[in-house]
Amino acid sequence: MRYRYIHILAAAFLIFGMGIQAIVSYRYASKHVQDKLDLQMQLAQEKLRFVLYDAYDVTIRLENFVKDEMTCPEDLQEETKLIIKHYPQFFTSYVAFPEYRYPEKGKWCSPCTYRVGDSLFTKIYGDETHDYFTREWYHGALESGDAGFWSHPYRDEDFDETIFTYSDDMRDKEGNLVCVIASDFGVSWLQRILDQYKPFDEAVFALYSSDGEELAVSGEQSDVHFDNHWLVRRKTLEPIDIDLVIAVPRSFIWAGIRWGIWLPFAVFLLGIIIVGVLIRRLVRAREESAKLELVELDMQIAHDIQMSILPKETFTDESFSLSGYLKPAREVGGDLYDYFVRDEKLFFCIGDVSGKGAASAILMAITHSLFRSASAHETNPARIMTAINEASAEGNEKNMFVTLFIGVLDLPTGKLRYCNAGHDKPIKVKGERLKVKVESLDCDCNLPVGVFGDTTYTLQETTLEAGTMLFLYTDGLTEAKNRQRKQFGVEAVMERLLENDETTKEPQALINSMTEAVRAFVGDAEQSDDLTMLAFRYLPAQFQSTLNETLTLTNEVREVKRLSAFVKQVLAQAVNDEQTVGQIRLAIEEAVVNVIDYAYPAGTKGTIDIHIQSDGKTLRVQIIDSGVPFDPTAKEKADTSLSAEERQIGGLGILLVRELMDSINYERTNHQNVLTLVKSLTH
Amino acid sequence: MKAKFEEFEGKYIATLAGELDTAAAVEVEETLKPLQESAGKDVIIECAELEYIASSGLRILLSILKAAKANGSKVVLRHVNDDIKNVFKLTGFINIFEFED
Repeated sequence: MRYRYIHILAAAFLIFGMGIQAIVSYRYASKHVQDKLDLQMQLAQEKLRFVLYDAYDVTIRLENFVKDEMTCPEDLQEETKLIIKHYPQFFTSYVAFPEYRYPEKGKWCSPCTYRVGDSLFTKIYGDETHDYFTREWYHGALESGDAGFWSHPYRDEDFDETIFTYSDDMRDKEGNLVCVIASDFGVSWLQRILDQYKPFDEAVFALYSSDGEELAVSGEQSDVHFDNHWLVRRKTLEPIDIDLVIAVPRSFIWAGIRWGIWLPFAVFLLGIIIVGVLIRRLVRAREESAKLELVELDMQIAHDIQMSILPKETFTDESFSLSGYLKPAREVGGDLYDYFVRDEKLFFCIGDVSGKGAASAILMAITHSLFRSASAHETNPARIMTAINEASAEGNEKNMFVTLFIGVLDLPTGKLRYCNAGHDKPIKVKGERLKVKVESLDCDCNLPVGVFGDTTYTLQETTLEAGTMLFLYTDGLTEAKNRQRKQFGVEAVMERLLENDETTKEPQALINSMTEAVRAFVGDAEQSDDLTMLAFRYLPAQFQSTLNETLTLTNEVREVKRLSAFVKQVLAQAVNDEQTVGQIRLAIEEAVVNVIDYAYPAGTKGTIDIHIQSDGKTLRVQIIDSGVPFDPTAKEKADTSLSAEERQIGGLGILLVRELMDSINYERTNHQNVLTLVKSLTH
Repeated sequence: MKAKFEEFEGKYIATLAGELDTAAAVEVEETLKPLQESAGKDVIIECAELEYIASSGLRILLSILKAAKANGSKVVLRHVNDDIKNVFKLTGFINIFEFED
């Protein structure tokens, strides 16, 4: 808004400046034109005066002729002819004698020569209709004394011409009138002389009588009214009483300075427009960049939040070490990885949401939290996948989907259960040094998550040998492009994995070297997709048992007595702390009672094996039965904050087992339920 | 495992001694059944000689407590040792029972 006022201000300044420029230019040009007109008029006046004054010479010449050479009036005809021939400015030259000076000629006798076009005619002038005694020039001359007389301009009917006359009387010694000598000038001839002095074609010369009557005007014009639209200079032409006027239309002056005004105006206007446009662009760019900064700030915050969703980049446990890496192509991305350990099981996943940017980042966060909630009480990856799929397919109007790999590794046994929903196959790396074997994990083709809510996901199973590394990645790795649009490719990843030297012993080192390799390949090309890697090496802790005791029970409550006796007897050898003994005993009893209550259908008999092992530092208890699959770890934890009225009778046993032991692990192996409880003996 | 109860000065006083494990729980539950119909009498459970308790034992105590509360009477556990108190802590039962030393 402010900038609009600047435009108006600039326009006002421009118009004001141009106004001043126009006025100054006009004044200057007017002055110049005026000077020029004055000069030309001066020159024209001089010229006119010069030719008019020839009348004096002619008069003297004729006077002398009359006095000395004339024998008869006819002689004058020849003389006046010579004069007219010699002086082109004269219209007529004549000598008028007084009444009856030559009686044979009558009352009037005036020999003369006159000009019609280029031809000269002579005659004796004067009769009834041409009674010169009544003419102004005649008696003007008589009354003017010694000086000559310049008549007012008058109309000559014979020649249809406005003329004026110079006349002078000639007298003898006695003062008697001899004759009047006269010369006529045509106004139109005067005009022709003047026109030669026109400084510009547009200039107009005009002649006016002293009483304001227009006598002649340049060109074909007549009745020109010199009003305000004209620049007019006026001078009285001596000795005749005629006003000389020179004028130019003011529009002529304007025309002269037009470009001097419009051109700078146009240039300035253009300049202002350019500057205006530049300023506007600058301002807009600044506003845009301010807006962009806000968006960037938001995206930075989103980035931080997204990164905080991810678990720690490295994690080391007694039986595995793990490292993850995620680099979104933009601030936020649609890739995810997650892992956590629950009940001696490593839960992990890696996924890639279709698309990039904010929308996929939101789905990434949703998928992450669905993974967490679905795996809180479930150890079957296919069921976890199904739960995530059902939740994310619902209301998925944008038809976004997620390729997802979920794995659950049983840490005591190395049994890996997994489910792949359209994700790149993880790569298994076995062996070290020169005997490295790299192979993709065999994966069923399952639809990505979020496509159809009723998709069935298949569970697959394998066992990881100690020392095996599992490498998971998103297509941001294999499809990383360099400047030549070439992809990094699975082969390059495999090669890198084969170089399983010392640096790749740790997952962290493998990921570092993979990151460097892909970075070197991509060069300065822009990262086109989110890049995510997850690697872990399975290295189960070696357990050298120094104590190994087994008891077999039947599924009856009274067997608890035998159990108590057995446990007390074994623990007495392995644990020297009474309190710990009490805790372990309670945990074992609760776990076993759980099996007695639930493992076998009511009324059927079955056995329960209890193994107690110790390596001196850790006590391990395994409770094995051949009943129906039953995972006590999947039970939701009892809420201990409820009041007496709200507390439920059930759920206490497994709660106590969890609280009293360091870890609890359930595996269904060989049609048996295997529950493993571990308690550290060193505090 | 020994369990008995008597009426004294308008209160039920139950005494638990030995190890209240899952096997013993069935018998103890039977013995203490009258406490569940305490008819407004307060219940004191003497635990000085109680050495061990499993979740089945806790369940018996919880049902006695629920019955007492329904009749507007109190249940007090007396002289509970630290190990057993720890079990009460782990299960959150420490918040719903009244203890006396």
